[in-house]
Amino acid sequence: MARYIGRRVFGAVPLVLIVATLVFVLARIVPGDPVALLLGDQASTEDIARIRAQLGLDRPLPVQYALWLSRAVLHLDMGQSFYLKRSVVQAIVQRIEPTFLLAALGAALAIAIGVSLGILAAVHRNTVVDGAVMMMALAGLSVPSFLFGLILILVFAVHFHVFPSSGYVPVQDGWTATLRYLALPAVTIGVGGAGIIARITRSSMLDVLRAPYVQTARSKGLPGRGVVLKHALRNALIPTMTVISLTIASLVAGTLVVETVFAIPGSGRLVVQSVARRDYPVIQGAVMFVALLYVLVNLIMDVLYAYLDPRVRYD
Amino acid sequence: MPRPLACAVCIAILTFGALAPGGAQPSPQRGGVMRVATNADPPGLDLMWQTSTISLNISQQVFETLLTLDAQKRIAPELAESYAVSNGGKTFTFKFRPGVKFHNGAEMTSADVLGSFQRWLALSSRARQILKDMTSATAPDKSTFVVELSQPNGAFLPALAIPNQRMVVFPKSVLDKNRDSSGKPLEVKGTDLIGTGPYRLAEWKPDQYVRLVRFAGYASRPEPSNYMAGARHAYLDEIRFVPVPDDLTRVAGLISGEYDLALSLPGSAYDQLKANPAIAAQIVGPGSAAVGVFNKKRGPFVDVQVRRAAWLAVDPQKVMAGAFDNALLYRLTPALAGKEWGVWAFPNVGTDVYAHGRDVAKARDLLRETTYKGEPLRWITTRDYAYMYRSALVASDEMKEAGFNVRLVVSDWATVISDRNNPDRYEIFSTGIGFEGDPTSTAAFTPGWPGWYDSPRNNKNYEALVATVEPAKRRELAKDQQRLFWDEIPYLRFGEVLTLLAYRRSIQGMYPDNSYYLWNVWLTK
Repeated sequence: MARYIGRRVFGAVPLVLIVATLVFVLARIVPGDPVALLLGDQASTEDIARIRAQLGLDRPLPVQYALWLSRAVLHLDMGQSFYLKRSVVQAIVQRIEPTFLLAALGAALAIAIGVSLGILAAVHRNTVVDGAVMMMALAGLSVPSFLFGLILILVFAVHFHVFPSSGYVPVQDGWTATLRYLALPAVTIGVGGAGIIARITRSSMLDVLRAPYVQTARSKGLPGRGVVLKHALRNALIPTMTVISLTIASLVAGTLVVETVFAIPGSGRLVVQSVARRDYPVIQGAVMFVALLYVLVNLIMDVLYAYLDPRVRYD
Repeated sequence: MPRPLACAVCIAILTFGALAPGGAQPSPQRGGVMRVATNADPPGLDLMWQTSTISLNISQQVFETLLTLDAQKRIAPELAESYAVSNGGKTFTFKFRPGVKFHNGAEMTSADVLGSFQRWLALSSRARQILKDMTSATAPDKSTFVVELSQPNGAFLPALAIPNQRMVVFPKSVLDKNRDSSGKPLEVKGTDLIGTGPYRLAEWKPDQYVRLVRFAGYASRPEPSNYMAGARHAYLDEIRFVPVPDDLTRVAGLISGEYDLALSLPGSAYDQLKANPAIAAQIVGPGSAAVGVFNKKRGPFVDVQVRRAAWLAVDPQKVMAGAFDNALLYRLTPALAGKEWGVWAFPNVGTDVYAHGRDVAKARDLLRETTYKGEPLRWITTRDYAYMYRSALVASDEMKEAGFNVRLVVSDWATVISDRNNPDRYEIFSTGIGFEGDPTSTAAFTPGWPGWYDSPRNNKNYEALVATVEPAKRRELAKDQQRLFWDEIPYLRFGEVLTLLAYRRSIQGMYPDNSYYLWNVWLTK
């Protein structure tokens, strides 16, 4: 297993390099000037040219790329944000906490709700319960997160004053406050993920429940709950794990929208704002960070397969 | 669901507000934390470096300059105790108030002012243009600063007083520290953001909040408060600016009471906010104009006849009605300065052109006399500011009827603000152009600004405005500038865009303006 993990990590290096090159090129070929935005609407062409030179943006692109890559590889220095007055690494690190907590809470909600509802629908297949659960799953999948988020704000923040409408309180200032601020955004991204997990869990559960070993367990007189939770669920979770890994990845992508709607200062909003501001160093650093995250999540999921399915072995 | 429809649904639903009865205006109270939802994080707080509105709205609580404007938009002293113009408008002498302290405790002296002035000249192309006849800037003693020019100058004092890219005073030690190896000024950041204002910067976490706290050592002017002039009182313990990028979340946060004040609110939220008794909502000016700026360096619009034909092809009233859902949110006027600008507002100059009425036949005839033969015209605009896109949409459709082959090129604001600097990339671009406090301060009237209005008549008039000291004569020249504008049509100026100002009624003392002056403001909760 250790050798497998080592191989996967080594194999990720060219991938990350390709991502780095692509994101550098894409960021620069998109029209837009960070300096024009930085200086504001009244800045003259002359003022803009002066600051472009100061930031090195007037140099040829290959020179800028070589400088950036050499700094990144040799010194692990991703450069300075044009906007945030700090290094890119600092900017990203400061935004990991809210995004990580939001994605983790969203994923926990998505898995808990999705797996439970999926089992419920499978056990009560072709009944009203099944229909209702699947309708809820479809609704969760279909409603855009920005709209669902705004509806939650309207109901729980504006009308009932139960949760704050926006913002974030770091964990160091108290877990309770952090959870209060993350509740609505976590539900917003969790519900979408729960929908797809519920549908896949139901489908794979139905397959497993029809399997001969489950029939055998039932005919031995084992209680229904034991058959479902002890014998069927573990096997049914294997295809669900694939969906969960993809869902977690999409939850991280979902933070792009949700963090903007709820004004959470996380990595997703950092990416959105950096693109809008053409803050090239941050765009490059953040996309590379997300690429590494995807590699890591996929690796963890592959290791989990081996744990859940004894037939899967990598050595 | 399409986004506009979703937004409309949400705005409609958001009318379920948290309500609290408003009360009579009490006397000022000290204390409290004011939470302000902003539409963006500032790109910086160094006002000589940045010209963005959000930077100004935060920084003007922290930094001060020598002069400012009063409610009648007359020049008034701020850090200066007095100022005198002598030698036929060529010598400017400023005496400073004693006891003015920076937030680091150091007393402000003429060395700080001189250093800040030199930095302003290095950073602001407008300042350099206005002061190109400067012969010396000196600090003869600790509390005096003198600027000598070889020619009379009527634009210097207004340039010091108006908000845009103002000459704020930093400690000289900060300026010395923030230079590159060749001595050129660098942006002032972080703990170096030290001013003399009623609030000082306590903490700035980018994309999270900017926290200002009361400056205990603030030396207020003795005169009664008068708009930006006069006494400034820091009643609040703290002001926290929180970036909330989503428009509807800012509206929701204001209704729920999470924020006391929200900036850059969508005009479409006016009715629901107005109906909420816990919130004071009003439409305020002065506004900036919704415009389509012609490329006057290259392409058909170099020819003034083509520009005149374009103006005849559009109906400003229809364009503004198309750009805004609510007629309260705009004003139809030929004045380059809104009525709030007092002596600079000329609502009757240019009326014959502005209110002439759309005349497609005449526009077509005029166009036929030019060399324009239906070449494609690119109008670069953005949906980031809905009114820009919508006004461009209506106006371009109207222009097509007169024979203009206009095509909208829609992208984000970052692209527009970049592309507009390149004369090969467009024929028209959308933006908002505001009057900045003096006829010489509007960048769109200088040849270096995108669109490149480099007309000999305008340049001559601009030079005269700079060189004329006598107020009545400057006023006449400003009228000429407006007349010239409606003759040369450097851009399509559809109308004036106003601002929705809304805040919780717990806030008292707020000045109704499109900029936010939070000194003299207090909380009643």
